[in-house]
Amino acid sequence: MGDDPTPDAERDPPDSRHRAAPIIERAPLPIIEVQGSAHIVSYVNPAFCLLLGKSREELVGKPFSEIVPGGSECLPILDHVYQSGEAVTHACKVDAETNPAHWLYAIWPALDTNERPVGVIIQLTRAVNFRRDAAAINEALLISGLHQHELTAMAEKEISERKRIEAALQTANHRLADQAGELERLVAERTEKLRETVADLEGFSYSVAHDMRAPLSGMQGFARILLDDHADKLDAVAHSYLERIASSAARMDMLIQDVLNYTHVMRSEAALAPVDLNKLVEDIVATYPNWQPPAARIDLEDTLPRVLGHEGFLTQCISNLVSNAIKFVAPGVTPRVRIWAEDRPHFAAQASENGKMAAGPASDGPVVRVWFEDNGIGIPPGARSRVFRMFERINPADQFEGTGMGLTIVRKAVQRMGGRVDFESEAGKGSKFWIELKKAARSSEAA
Amino acid sequence: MTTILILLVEDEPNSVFFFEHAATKVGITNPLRVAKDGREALDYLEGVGEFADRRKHPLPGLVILDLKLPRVAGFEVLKQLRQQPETRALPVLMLTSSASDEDVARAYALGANGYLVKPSQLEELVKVVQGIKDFWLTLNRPPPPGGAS
Repeated sequence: MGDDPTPDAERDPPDSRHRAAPIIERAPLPIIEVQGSAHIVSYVNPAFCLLLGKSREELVGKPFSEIVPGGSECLPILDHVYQSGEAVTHACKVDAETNPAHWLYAIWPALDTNERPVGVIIQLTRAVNFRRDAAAINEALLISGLHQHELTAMAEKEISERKRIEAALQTANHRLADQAGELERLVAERTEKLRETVADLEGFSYSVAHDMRAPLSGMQGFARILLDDHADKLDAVAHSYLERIASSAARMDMLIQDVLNYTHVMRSEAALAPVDLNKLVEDIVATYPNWQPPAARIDLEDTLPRVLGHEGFLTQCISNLVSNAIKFVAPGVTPRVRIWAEDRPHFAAQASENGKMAAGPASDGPVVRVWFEDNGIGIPPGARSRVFRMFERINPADQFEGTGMGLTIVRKAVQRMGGRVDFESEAGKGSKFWIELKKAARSSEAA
Repeated sequence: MTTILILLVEDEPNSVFFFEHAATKVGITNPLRVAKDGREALDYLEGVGEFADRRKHPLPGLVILDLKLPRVAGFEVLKQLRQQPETRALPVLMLTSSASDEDVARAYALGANGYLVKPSQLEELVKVVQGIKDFWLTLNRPPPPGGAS
């Protein structure tokens, strides 16, 4: 092609390209050639591409004014060089960018073999902190190549470093995702296993407790028969041993019954429904012969409201609380129990009032507190934390019979109904236990 | 008091002993047969094998049935005897340690005439057996011989 010059030198100047290209292609200075009166880009070297961050394809064929910031400002200068054949330098300030900079130009003509200008060659550089004078321009243009070189090396280093980091990050992310998935799977697996174990354990304790009762009633039964029907053949010592067998078996039976009650409360579905508390308390009280006068006196004050609860759980709570109230009295004192209800703020309101969350889950509807006040021996302050714990006994077993399960069952049952339980007491002055439950809508409003 | 035969279906020897003891205590004089598992109970009621001779092994007028039984469970015994014409109307009382609503409901659904929870205390069992004597052996009129039509 070089040996066959085209007639139209303006549009296709092979000579300039062929002369310029090998020389400036690898120059560390950003150099561009534009042609014609519109100053269309005909050549860029790699350093120029790097400076503008664009590929050669994006630049070649475009008017110069479009590719360089503030390029249109240089057009008269390019025209001048193109027409006069003189070389000039020029500094052009660009304020639009975030950090203002100068674009520095060295502009000289590209001449054909007849020394006629066929285009303009521009060396361009960008300088920050630039003082505007001719020496500075020259200096900047010259040393720009060095900067450019550093820039190239640094850019390559940065790029490879960035790529390495990105790759490492991606690997880490993949690994993290894998591990998160694995962790999730493990958690799900273990939760399922735990759930199974808990269910197994509950079922196990239930059937153990259930099956333990049969041989126990054997012991109790035969001791009873011996005591009832063969007493005349037994001396006093044998008789007392039999009494001990019978009472030990009876105690064991009570324990098993309470463990069964507890597991029942744990295992049952706690579907809440409106319960007429007044009627329930009356019914429960009526079933215990030793709760009736003159043995004890129970005053059911006011009318207890309908609550959202579970009748079986409530029965456990009420019979345990009343039975405790009647049981724990000083010798010779006739037990007296007062039961009444009191409207309370919502659980949520109470929580903010006390500055801490209540033991039961928060609830929206109205709440009622049912009090069980007794004239018993009371609970010393030091025993407060043990009261609701399983198998804990505050009082000696030889004075007060019991399994240490009653209040544990009450607490579990109340919790399962979304309520709360606690007490106020002073040693020697009786106890006031209370349970808080959600109030049910009035019967007329209930569905 | 009628002199109907009582069939007690109970695998636990102690429980059998205590039932007999309680029956004696409350003065039940009716003949009592014991089947030690569900299979034996069904064989007796159907007159199968060693129980083929009805003169030696007459049909009972009252069955007292446990739930947890070896070989054939209590519910299955109840279900099968309700399918036989001879035993369809036979009064059957459940006597079991299970107090679960589920078991009670199922027993009635299968045609039990009553459901008694077996007390663990002998004194309580005596009361239960007294109740059986007073109602089922005294006041209640059993279905006439030949079963229900």
